[in-house]
Amino acid sequence: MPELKKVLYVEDEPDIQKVASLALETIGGLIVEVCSSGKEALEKAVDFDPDLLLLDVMMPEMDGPTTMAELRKIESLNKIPAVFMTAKVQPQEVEHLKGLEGVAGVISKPFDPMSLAQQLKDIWEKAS
Amino acid sequence: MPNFIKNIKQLTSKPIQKIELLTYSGLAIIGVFSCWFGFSIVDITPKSTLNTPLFILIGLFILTLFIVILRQFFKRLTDDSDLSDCILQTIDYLNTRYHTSKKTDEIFIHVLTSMIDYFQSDYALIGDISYTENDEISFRPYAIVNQSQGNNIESSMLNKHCTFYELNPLLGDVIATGELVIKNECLVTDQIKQLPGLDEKLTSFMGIPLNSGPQLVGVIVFANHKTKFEMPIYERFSPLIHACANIMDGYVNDLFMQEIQQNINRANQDKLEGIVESIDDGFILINLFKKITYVNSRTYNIFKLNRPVDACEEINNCFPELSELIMPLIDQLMVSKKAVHIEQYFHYLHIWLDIDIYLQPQNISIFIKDITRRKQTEEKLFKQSAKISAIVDNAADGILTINKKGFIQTFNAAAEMMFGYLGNEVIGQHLNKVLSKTSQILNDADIKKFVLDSQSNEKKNVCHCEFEGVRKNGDIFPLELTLNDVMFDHEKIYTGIFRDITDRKKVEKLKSEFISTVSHELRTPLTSIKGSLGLISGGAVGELNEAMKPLIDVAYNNTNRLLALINDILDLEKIESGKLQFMMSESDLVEIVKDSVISNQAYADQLNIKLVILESMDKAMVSCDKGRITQVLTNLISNAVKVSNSGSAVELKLEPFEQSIRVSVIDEGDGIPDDFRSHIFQKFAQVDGSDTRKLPGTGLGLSICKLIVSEHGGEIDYVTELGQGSTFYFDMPQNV
Repeated sequence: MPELKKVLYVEDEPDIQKVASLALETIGGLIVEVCSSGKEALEKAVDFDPDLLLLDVMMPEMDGPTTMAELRKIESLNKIPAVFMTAKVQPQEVEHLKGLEGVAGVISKPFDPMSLAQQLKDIWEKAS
Repeated sequence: MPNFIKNIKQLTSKPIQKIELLTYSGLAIIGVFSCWFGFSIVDITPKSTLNTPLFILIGLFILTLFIVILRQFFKRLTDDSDLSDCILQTIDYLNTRYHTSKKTDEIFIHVLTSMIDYFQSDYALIGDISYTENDEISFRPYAIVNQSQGNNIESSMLNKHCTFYELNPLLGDVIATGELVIKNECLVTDQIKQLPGLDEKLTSFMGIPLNSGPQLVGVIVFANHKTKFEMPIYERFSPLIHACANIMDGYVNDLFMQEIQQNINRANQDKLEGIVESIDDGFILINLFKKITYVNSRTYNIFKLNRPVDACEEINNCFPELSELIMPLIDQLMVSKKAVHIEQYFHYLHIWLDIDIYLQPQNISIFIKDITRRKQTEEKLFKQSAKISAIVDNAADGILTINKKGFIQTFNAAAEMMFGYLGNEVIGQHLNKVLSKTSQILNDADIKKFVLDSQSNEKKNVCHCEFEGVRKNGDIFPLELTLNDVMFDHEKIYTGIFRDITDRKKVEKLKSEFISTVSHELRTPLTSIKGSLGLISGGAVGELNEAMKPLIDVAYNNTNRLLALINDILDLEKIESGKLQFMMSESDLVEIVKDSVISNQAYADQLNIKLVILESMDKAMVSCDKGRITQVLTNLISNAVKVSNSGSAVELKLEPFEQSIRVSVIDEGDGIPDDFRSHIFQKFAQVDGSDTRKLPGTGLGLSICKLIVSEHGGEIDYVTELGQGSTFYFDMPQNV
């Protein structure tokens, strides 16, 4: 089983982008491609060729689930597992996201930056 | 009876013609011849002087004799015609009086008095023959006339029976033989029984049987003749005797029939009276002249009348208030011939009466029923229903009743306002008419289930549900429906109370959106802050110096505290608005307790507190939302850890309690003051006032715990002792 290396991270909030990418890269040693919108993600995804999608749920123009669905339309990306990071932490909301096709896990915000990378790795292992 | 009259004439003239008339005629012819002979001698021999006076003398004697005889003859003739007249008159009297007056004793006394002189006797008796119950012949005297020693006693003795053996033997002979008995000898012996009403000595006796056809119906007795009884007088009176026999026969028969009729009438009357007395209604019978003929005893009670009502009394005398009311009605009834029914309040008696008046051929019957109680009940019911309908009509909520099939039966004013329909537009229609399409499906399922449940039990059932209503103009609006079942006339009907919850829904939505938005919007900056602080304190960006490290930790911990507060507020809102969905599953409380201890171990270790599971069970299956129960336990454990002194222990206990499993969390802290008990489970409650609190926490934890536990049908509480510590416990209903 290959090790998790490349994460495509879509997040509209620049502060969270910084904290999350720092946590993933510095602590987890992952390669993170940060996109500020779904549109940007669609542009960068094919070239980046990620192992995992890490998506914020609430974003302007294109939200997390839509971005995921659009990315899945790209043939090379249609099997890539996705993980949502969300501030909507109500159980039914979490269950809804988990129920979507190809969703490997949901991480609630605020996340623990020290263990975020490990959380992703655990999800990755389970999904593979 | 023309035959009788003819017979009498023949019979009465017969003896005079045959015997006496012949004698007297002969004497008369001799006299006439003697005269003629005397005169002819005078004429032929005028000169013979010697013989002339002799002949004249002889002639005169013969003439005188003739005149005497002639006079006697005429006298006799007159007497006979008097007797015939008397007999005829008596017969006439008998017939007419009998058919008109029926006073038989008087009639017979008259007959006896008119006959007694002709029979030249002092005593006369007439009576009939009848049979006793033992088939013995008995004699019943009707009338006695006794004229002895200047007395003139007439007496009627109707209905005094003497049996055959008590009778005078001569009378007995007449009855036994049915023949005429005449005895003129002296009949003095002690043994011989006297005739009824005769005190004198019986010297002579004539017993005349009264025969109607072959049957003996009665006897006439004459006694104590001045000289002696003879046949001819009897023969002369035979037509009258015959008439008497006929009357007697007719009378006996009449009497018999009368008696039977009387018995029948009495029996009928008794029966009717029995019925009329047994009914619970008052009953008054009045004749067509509006006089009372009968009043039953219930009537006395109803009208509180203490004296008996006389027959033929005016109604007005006895029942004035009734009379005033019914007199015009009776007049009306006499014309229309239709029964009258009226209900009326009687002010004087303070009662309500129901009166029915019926016209019959001979009578008017009045039935009176006391309906005061019914009227009072009706009035009370009317007032009550007026009150209730006033309440129902003025209620702000729509109130309607439906039958078990869901058809609308009543619709109040507020419901009319709410839906824009008038009552008569929806009554009789199905409830679906006022519900939206989606609600109709819901409604059908919910109401059917409710009705099904409700029909299967006797107790009261209530169902709360939220629907979408449709107004007449098509607007859809949210409704809250409370459905109750009511036993009505042995059938369950359903009252629905509708509340238009448009405004409430708006407010709820606003609140919910606000909290959810705030919570989300707060989370976003918190994520950055927590993430940054976490990375710094975790050493991801290099080592911190001694002075910076504790400050960063303070900032980080308080971020967590703020986050907990946000989570609690969100939970509380969701639970209170009923939006929090519990994901119930069969879970083992033992596992939940173990997991909770593990997940709180790190926090307890920080404060140097030991977490100990003191008592446990092998397995404790309950139906619960595992996450939420864990939340409760985490809350209780963290509270216990917070209040515990460093180095002490927090113990957990798991034990069966009644039908539940009790989970206890025991600390050795300071305990909770008594005055705090009343609001410890309320929102934002903390033991010491907010200014000086030393303990971390939002003050929402216990109120959330209480909500979660009660949503599971359990209870949460605590015991405490100041300085000794507290035990918080909750009971989870166990699966049977």
